[in-house]
Amino acid sequence: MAALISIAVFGIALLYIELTNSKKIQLPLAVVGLLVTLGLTVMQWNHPSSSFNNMAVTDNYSVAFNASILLSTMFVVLLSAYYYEDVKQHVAEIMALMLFTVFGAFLITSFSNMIMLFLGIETLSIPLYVLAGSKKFSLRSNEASFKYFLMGAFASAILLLGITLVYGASATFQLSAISDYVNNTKQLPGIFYMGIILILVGFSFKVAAAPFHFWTPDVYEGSPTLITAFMATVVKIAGFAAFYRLFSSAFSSIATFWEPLLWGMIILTLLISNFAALLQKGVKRLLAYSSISHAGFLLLGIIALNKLSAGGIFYYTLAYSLATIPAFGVLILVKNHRNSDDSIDAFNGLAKKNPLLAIVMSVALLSMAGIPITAGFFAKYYIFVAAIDSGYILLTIFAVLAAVLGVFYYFRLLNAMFLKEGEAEKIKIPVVFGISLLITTILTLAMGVFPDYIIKLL
Amino acid sequence: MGQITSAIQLIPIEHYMILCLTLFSIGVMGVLFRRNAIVILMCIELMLNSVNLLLAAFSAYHADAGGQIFVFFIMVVAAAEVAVGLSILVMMKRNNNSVDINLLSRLKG
Amino acid sequence: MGSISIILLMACGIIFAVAAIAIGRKLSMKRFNPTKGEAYECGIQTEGDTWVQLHIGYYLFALVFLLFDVEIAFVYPWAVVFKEIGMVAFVEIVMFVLVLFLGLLYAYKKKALTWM
Repeated sequence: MAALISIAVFGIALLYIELTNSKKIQLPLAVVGLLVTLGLTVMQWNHPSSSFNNMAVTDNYSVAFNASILLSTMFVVLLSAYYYEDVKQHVAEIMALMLFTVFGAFLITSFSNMIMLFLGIETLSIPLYVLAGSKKFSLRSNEASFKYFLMGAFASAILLLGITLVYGASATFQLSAISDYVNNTKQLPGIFYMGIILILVGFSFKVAAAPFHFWTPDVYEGSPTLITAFMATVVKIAGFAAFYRLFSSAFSSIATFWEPLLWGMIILTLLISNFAALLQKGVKRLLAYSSISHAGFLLLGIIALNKLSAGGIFYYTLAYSLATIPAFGVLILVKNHRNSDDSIDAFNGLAKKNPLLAIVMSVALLSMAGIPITAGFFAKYYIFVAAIDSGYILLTIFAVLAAVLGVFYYFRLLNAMFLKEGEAEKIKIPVVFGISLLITTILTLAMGVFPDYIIKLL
Repeated sequence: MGQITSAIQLIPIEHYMILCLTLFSIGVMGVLFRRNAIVILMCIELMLNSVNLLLAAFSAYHADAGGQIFVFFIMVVAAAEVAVGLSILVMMKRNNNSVDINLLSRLKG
Repeated sequence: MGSISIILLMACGIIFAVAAIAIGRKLSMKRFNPTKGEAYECGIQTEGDTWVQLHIGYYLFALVFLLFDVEIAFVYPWAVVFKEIGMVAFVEIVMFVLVLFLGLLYAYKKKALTWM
């Protein structure tokens, strides 16, 4: 509750800072806001409480996810100092919108009532529509923003119909009451099942899982790169936190109904994303497809639905965010120096003149591919263990094969950086930007070496 | 309130459901097949409002106020969403001079 | 009351309305002169194209209005239970309006409310 208020107050403060047009205090204010909120969030650790008439609960689960959302946002905000260096206007507004997005993310990590879930998803999405179009005069940004808006609004409507149908059957929005209803009813009505399917569809739109992923590559490519990094991390963390919370609490007793659906979705997601990623020429699009494939792995944690899942999903989303942010960060630098060329060829020979950038990018890519000593390896490992524990052996074998396929396209990029020749020049790394890249890289490695500390949290 | 509720309950809930699901499907079809962005926005509104209607009907049927409270939230959120959507549309129209979504094909691959 | 009477009433109404228009159209004389084509008592003739684009200012006003006008939806339920809850409800609505006011102030400072 305190964390929620703090992030909202800092967001509004940033809006008013924009009016005074003082560029110097924007970034510090945003960082301070995030740190204060992080402090307030961490203080709630092991102090479960409920707020808003029991419509939201703060437990260790939500605190852990909130902290990782705040961390990711912080790194993105640090990157923004360089990204918006030449932009005179609206920078504080962009940061404020990011904080409002985080506000929405907080709501959906800690909801215990469907109303909160809907409000959270909307508070998360609406600022993102604006952020995706924040390059006002770029047609591509316009297009990405509009597509995102259409798909987002469409998905919200579908999710809403699902919630309504579940309400129609169970006469409650409270998750625990829905769970009781499921346990105490012998013959569940058809609209309840229909509602679950629609909620599943709505969620897979939001977290970009196949077959509802088609908007993702376009939106990720068209949005400003920094915003793409923000969308790819925060939305994914919050989306999966909410996804798991909903399906593990309200609908866990009828898992036999929705697990086959999820099973099909996982197979489709892993297949489509990995094969499509192999064909991509642009790095941004490649990362977009890689993000879809990560959604596939994360769904594996949800389908497992045992005591290992929550920790596995948390570890995976954190590892994924810590890898995605530096990857997009390096992409921003390279793109700026190559006249906004973001093809894989733009990375040719990066290691010769810019070893630091190449190392940061390699660690990020290796983590995404799931190579040992990076966080990505244990992320996949824990998810697979959870899935095997619940008896999804075939599915896990399939996922392992998909992960191996994934290694190919990450190595295409590594190959370009280290082995190919290119007319590379020395790229100057801005200080704050470099700090953000460095910390994320170190954290990725640290998480890979000492995975126990994170996985034992949940 | 009690009288209104019992009056609503006279009509079987299935009728409300059929009406609302029909409206919702019209909205979905509109979003999928219309090419004018404004019409698509209207169709999304139609989807949301059909859900509102269904929520109100369920709420009366179960004699539980929760559903009607949710309707308020949906209305406000929908207004915010449409405001943002319209702004994006105006921005697009300024740069593109059209609201036909067939022009949205720069991003492909 | 059976539904047959309603249907009968509706049918009569429709027939009456259609008949009135159809007969009037059939019997009336149609002679055109330029004065008839003018807008009746609506001031001076328009100049140029009537399909002028609305000023962009309208759109901003409309959006700001749209946002603030739906918030009244929250005040109605509040008003119903105000007496039961008392002071807490008052403080909460004051905070709610305050947040809205912050938004309005922001719109004002951003010159969204000045006519351009």
